[in-house]
Amino acid sequence: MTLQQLLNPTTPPRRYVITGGPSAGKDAVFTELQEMGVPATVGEPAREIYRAHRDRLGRHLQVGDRQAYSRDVLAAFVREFCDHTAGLHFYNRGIPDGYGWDAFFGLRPYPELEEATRIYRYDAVFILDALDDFDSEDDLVWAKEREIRRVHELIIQGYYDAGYKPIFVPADDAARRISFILAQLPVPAV
Amino acid sequence: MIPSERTSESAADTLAGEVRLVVRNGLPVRPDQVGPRLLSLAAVRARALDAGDRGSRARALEAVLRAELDRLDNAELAAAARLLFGVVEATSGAKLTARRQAAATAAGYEVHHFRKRIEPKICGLVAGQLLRAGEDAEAALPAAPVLHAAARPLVLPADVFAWEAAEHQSAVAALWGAAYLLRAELVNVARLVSMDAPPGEVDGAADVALWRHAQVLAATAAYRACYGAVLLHAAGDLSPDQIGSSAGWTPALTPAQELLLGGLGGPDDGFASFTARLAASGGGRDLAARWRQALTGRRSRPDQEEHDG
Repeated sequence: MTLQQLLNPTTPPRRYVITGGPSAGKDAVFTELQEMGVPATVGEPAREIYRAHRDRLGRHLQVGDRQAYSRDVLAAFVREFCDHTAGLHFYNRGIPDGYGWDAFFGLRPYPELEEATRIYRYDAVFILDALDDFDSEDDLVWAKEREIRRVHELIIQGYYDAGYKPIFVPADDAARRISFILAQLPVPAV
Repeated sequence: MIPSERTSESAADTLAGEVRLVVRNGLPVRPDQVGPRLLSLAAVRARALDAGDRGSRARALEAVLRAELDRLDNAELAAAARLLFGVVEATSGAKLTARRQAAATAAGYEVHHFRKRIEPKICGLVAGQLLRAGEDAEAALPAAPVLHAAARPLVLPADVFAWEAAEHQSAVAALWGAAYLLRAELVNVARLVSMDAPPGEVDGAADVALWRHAQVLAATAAYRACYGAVLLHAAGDLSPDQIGSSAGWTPALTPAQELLLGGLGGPDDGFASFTARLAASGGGRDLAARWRQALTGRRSRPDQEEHDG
């Protein structure tokens, strides 16, 4: 199957999530996808929403602020899901990432997240394994070695809880990871 | 064999036995049909939405199991293992005999040989991998951060999870930092008392300890406001107050006194500013005098009380 066949824009929508913890190499993969002309999320909407929340509050998010942030991110994910109506699209994180976010803060999943997870289903989920330098000696700074590993695990768990069977993408350079991902995709039905 | 090796081997054997039970019962993992060691693995507890709920831990175990089977170290047996556990479509929901037959065929073994020799090996491999995943999860649990020299600056990815993780680490570090500074002063006071140091010196050290205690209370309150009453990602229900308490014994304070001190313990306020603001606040002088007395076992010097009063 050629890339052109995969990219055929006249097919029904095919939605694929690429996710993983911080330091998993997601940005490099999305940059490469965009350079290849593969339709994919530009930037990460959650970042801008997060910055907006912090700016509005004038401080770090507190317990009471987190679910409001989470709901705004969910709304953005749902919009992005619905905006795509034909052909292939790769999403930079997906709706079930919300489970990982909530679990990170010890929050229980809220009804809107569970409903959205049930209604808006992606065709497949790719989880980028942490890059090799995740554990390198230079990175033995606790923000990386503890919390970020935990975030990665919680994101994976969120997708399992949402009923997905994620495909793990081994640590490699971005181009090889994309080849791996594209090789897993079925021939699109026209 | 040294005792720790024997214990570790026995733990792995027990776990492998419980993994065999999972193979026998098939997936999904049912809470009432799974062994206690599997459910108490750190990797499972860390992933469970409610670590106190057996059903939640059973769901987390299944997810951990699927993830570890997807990345099983032994390439030769990986496909057979996935067929045996029924995590792939070909054997999902099938009975044990069908799963075993498919796995034996995939691995190129006669089915009886597979059952007797290869299946236990697969269960041992999976058990070992689950244990290693558990060790990773244990490493993820917060404790007083162990610091290492680094050869380059820490550069976080532009990612909200990373930002939040860093904020959390920052709050935890502030808390531990305050606790260690308090510890240093408590030890200092104990040394001065033991040496029968002059009262002024002992009381001065007790005052510094009170300032450090106020900083612990402020860091604890800041943590609570951001993350709640339980430390995130701790193995049990560890509260931020427990980090402060680990500095050592401190005199009991009323909730009102703790509130007062916490308000004066901002990280940017120096000792002189703290002392002045405490003295100016209602009950502040009495609090300081009682603190000195309780911590040092001595009554405050008359000139100090006169100075305070």
